[in-house]
Order: sequence, then C-alpha cells, then structure tokens
Amino acid sequence: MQDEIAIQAQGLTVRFGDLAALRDVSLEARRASVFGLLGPNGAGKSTFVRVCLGLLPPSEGRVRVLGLDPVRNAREIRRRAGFVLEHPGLYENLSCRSNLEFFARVYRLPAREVGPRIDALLAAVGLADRAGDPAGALSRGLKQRLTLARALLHRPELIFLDEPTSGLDPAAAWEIRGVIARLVAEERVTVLITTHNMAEAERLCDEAAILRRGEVVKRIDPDELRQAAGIRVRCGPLDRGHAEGMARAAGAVDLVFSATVTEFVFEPDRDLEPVMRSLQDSGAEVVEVVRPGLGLEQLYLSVTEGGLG
Amino acid sequence: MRDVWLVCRKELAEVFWAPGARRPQALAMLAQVGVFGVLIPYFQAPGWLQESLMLSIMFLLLPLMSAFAQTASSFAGERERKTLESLMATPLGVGALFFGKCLAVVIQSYGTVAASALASAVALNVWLLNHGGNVPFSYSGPAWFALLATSLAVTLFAVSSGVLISLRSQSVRAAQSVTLVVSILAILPLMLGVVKVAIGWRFLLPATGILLAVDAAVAGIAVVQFGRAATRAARR
Repeated sequence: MQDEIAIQAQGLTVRFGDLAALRDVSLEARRASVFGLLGPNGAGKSTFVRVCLGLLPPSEGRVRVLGLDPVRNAREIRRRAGFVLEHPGLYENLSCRSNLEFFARVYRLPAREVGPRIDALLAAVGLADRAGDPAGALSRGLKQRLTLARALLHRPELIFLDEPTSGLDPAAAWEIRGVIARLVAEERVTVLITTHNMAEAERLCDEAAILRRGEVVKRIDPDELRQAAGIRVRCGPLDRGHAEGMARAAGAVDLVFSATVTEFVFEPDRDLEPVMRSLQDSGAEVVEVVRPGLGLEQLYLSVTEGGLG
Repeated sequence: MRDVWLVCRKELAEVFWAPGARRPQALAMLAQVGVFGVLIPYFQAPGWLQESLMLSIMFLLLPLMSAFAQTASSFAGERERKTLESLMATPLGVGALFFGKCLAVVIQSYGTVAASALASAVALNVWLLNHGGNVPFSYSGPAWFALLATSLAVTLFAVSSGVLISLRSQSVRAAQSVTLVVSILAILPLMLGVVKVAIGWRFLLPATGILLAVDAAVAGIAVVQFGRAATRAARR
C-alpha cells in the first residue's frame, strides 16, 4: 500500500514567524496519478511543493515523498523528481538545447542518452525547430514548454507543476495543458499540480484537494472530478488535427479521443448555441451533450469564499 | 568536483560560446589584453622595463575590476534572473554552485591577466628589437612569480568579497559599484609594491601570502552566506 503512495502528508504545518502558511495538512497522492492542489493565491500551494522538494522544513507534522523524508533525503528526492516552479529558471542566453544539456548533466543522465533524450523531448513539446535559439528569445508559453521538457529530462517518477499556466494567454495555456496531458500519459509519471484554474484541474487531475489559508478544506475524489467536469459534447470520430482546430475555434477546454467518439469539453457555464453552430459548421456530427452536476468552479468558490486566500 | 566543473562550464558558455552569450563581456576581456598587453607596453616600453603605474594596473586593478564585475553578474545576476531557485531544486549542492561560479570568474579574470602578461613580454621584446636593445628581456623569475601570485591572490579576494557584496546588493549594478570602491581601497598597499616591482617583489610575496590567508577566510564566510541566501531564495 505504501508503495502506491507517491506523496503523503500528515498534520503538516509550516510557519513563517506568526504566519502559518500550511496548517495541519494531511493528504495522499497515489502513484501514476495527477493530483491537483487547488486554491487561491496565498493558500499555501507553493509552500507545499517547496516542502516536498526539501527546500522548506516543516514546522510540525511529517511528509513522505516517494517514501523518503524531504528533510533528510532532499537530494535523493530531487534526483527522482522533476519540477516546474513559478519562474522558468532558464538560462536565457543559452540555447534551448544547451539548457537541457546542462540539466541533463546535473541529473547525471548517461552521456549516450543525453542527445536522443533531448531530441525526443524537444519534439514532444514542439520546440525541435527552436533547439538552437537562446531560451531568452522564446515567448512565455514556449519557455514553459521548455521547462516541462526540463522537468521530464531524467525520467522522474514524480513531477511538481507549480501553476504551470500562470501568466499565459488562454491559447498558450490551452496548448500547455495539452502538452502536459500528453506527456503525463506517455511518460507515466506521477504529477502534483498546483493551480487556481478550475478548467485546468478538471482537464488534468485524477484527484484533488482545495486549500484555503493553508488548510485543506475539501478533498475531491475522481468521481466528483468527473461529475464536476464541464459540458461534454460528443461527436463522431474526427481526424486529430482537424478536431484540435475545431476545439480551439469553439473555445473548448479539453478534447478527448477514442476510436468511436471525439469529445469536446467546455466550461460548465458555456453558452452552447454558438458552440454547436461552430462544430456543425466545421462538419462535426454531434451525437450527445452531457451536462455536469455541480461544476468544480462552483465547488471551489463555495469552499474558498469566492477565492479569498 | 564534477559538479563544480559542470557549473563552471555553464558559466563560461553563458559568456563566450552560447548563441545569446554576453559578447560585450568577452570583447571587453579581449580589449584588455590588446590595450594592457600590447599597446601600452609597446608605446611606454621604457617605463615597463623599469617600473610603471601601468604594470600595477595590469596585474592588480585589471583582475580586480574584471573579477568584481563578473562576480556581481554571476551571483547577483543569478538572483536577478531568478534561476537560483531552479538550481536549488536540483540535486546540485550549494558548494558545487558556489565554487563552480567562482572558478569560472577566476578563469576569466586571471586568464585575462595571464594573457596580458604574456602579450606584454612579447610586445616589450619587439620594442627592444626595433630600438636596438638587448633581447630577450624578462623580469626576474621571482618578480614574475610575485606579480602572478599577487594577481591571483587579488583575483581570489575580488571573487570572495564580491560574493559577499553581491548577496547584499539589490541588483548587479549596485553590487558592481560597491565592490569597485572596496577593492581599490583594499589593494592600494599592494599597488605600491608592484609600482616598484624591481625592488618591490620582496615585499609583494609576504603581502600576497597574507592576502591569500584573508582570501581563504573571506571565501569561507562567503560560501556560508551564499548557502543561506540560496536557501532563502528557494523558500520564497
């Protein structure tokens, strides 16, 4: 059972002087799942990530990451985990490839694996043709893709994504979510993602917890997440490239493919009339529309009092 | 040691061979070699064959200014560019980060001095050849040793004290301003020794020994302070 848990916090409290950034937080994130830590700014999400990476010591309680204590085994955890933190932390005058080469060596990737691994990841995040460009020449969205590649470079068992789409425009955020979803599926890695974007949580997470003023105020299991997910418009099978273009044009937050169905996901309060028109004009055959129960956004607002930290 | 070299190579790449390298910094080093290693020794050769203020500038002020500027850019710059937090979340140790960065600055600054010294020796001999003097000319072995050793000690002093100042400065520019003033005050006595290099090298060697001991102490404090600052940056 212990081996199935990637992150376990019990009664975790972190204080900065009189201020408690985390208060008695207990949660578990299963391996090979995407766990969302949701909450408004200042709720303690980033503090939790820093504790897990051994950058901050707990004031009380305990945390186990991959079965290890972050206070005593910080370097071992950092060797086995990847991260995307608030700032990209890229060397702007090094090329994208040189940035990844530097971090590949930091993580002791065998020399013969460095080149192929970097090529594969640059292709996966859509930066293959920008490999020789300085990181500083990339847009914010492309930099975030590069940090994702960096996070996955050493095939970590676990990655921490701290607000990975924060500060991005909606189109760039949409693309980054797509890259995260695809990479997570391909690399079979455990993910802890922090966000205050409920569409992001709905799209990516298997389980989640909502933090407010440093306390876990709500745990959300997979069923609740599915129910909270947005409006699902199911169409017949479509070509992936064509469907992605349609999804973007119609403002979908997610796109799910199967052999027989292409499912467009929209935010729960979305006006469907223009959406249906847009899809039908693009040649999609709408089979079914599934409306959500209580949306995650509403759930979130109800427990965070409208988003106050 | 491997991690120290890894960080050092990254630092050097940022200045010299990366596509977005800080070319002005690399060009400034080349210009220093050209001016202080070739032009000035050649056109003021009589002074250089004896003693010269320029000699003290090349061997002391040059590495000092260069090392301070690069230390500020490396340490305060890392904080300004918010790259320190990411490094702290990797398995790299604080020691590897600190010594890797310092090594890169020493290689750049001391490399510039060594290249300038070599170039000046060539320039002086070319001047003597053109003016019917005795060649080959060289300062005595102990004088060369004293000059290069003092220069290295001064570079190390600039790096270690530069780290301390950079950690307390708001920006790269602020760090560079403060370090320059501190450094000039600190090496004035040594400059007098170099100006009188023909007789002063005897004074330089013990002074350099003392400075190396000071360097070790300041570096010890700097590595501890850097560790604390890096931890603070990662916690924010």
